[in-house]
Amino acid sequence: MQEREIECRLKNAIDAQMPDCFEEIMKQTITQSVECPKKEKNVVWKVMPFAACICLLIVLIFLNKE
Amino acid sequence: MFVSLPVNEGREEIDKGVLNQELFQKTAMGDTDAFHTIYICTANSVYGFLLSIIKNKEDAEDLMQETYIRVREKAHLYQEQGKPLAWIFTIAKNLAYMRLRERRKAVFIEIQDVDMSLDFSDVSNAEDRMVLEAAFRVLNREERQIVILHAISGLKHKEIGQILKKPLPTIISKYNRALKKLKKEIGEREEDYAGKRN
Repeated sequence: MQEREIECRLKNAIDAQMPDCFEEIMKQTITQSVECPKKEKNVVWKVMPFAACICLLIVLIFLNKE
Repeated sequence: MFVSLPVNEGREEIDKGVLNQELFQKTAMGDTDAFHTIYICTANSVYGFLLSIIKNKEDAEDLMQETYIRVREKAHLYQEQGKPLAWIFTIAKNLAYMRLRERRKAVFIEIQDVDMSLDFSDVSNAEDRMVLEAAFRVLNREERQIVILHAISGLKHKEIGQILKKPLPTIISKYNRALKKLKKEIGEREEDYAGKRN
C-alpha cells in the first residue's frame, strides 16, 4: 500500500467515525450564554467576617482583663 | 485483498480560503452560520486529532464539543496568523492534555500508559478500518498526531511542527518512521490474510 493510499484510507476511516455534534454544541453554547454569570463578591464583603471576628476577640480580651 | 483506491482529494477541501478571520469575527458576533461553516470545515480534522491523542471515542467526542464551545467563546480573540486550523488545534490539544492529566490523577498511571480499547466496528470499509486499527496499534501518540494531522487536515510538516512545538526535521523523521511502521504492519496483515486464504 502506498503512502498516499494509507493517508487516504485513514482519512476515510476517521470520516466514517466522525460524530455530528453541532446541534449539541449549539445547545450547550446557548445554555451557557443564557446562564447568568456569577457576581463576583466585593472584596470588602470577603474581608468583613474576619475583621468582625478580630474586633470581637479584642473586645472579649479587653473585657476579660477588666 | 486490496484494490487500488482513487486518490481522494478530500484533504484540500479545508484549504480553499473558506476559513478566514471574517468567519471568526462573525462567529464572535453571534452569527450561527459562520460558526457552522467553521465547524463543517474543521470537525473531521479536530475529531481525528483528538482521537489520536486521547484514544477514546467518547472522550474525543466530548472534547470536540468542548473545543467548539471554546472556539465560539474565544472567536473574538482569534488573530489571523497562520492557519485558523492551527488555532483550533491548539485549543483542542490543550483540552485533550488537560483531560489526560485529570485521568492520570484519577488512576495514578502515566499518561503514556493510558490505553483505552478502541472499537472501530462502525468503519464499514474493511481496508479503511484495518489502516485505522494499525495506526492505533503500532504508532505512538506523537506519530499518530503527525500522521493524522497530515493525512486528514492536509497540514504541512512545518505547520504540524508549530502546533506540536517540535522542529521541522523531527516532524519529518517521525512522519517517515510512522509511515514505514504502518506499511510494515499493513503488509504483514495482508500476508496473513493471503496465507489464510491459501
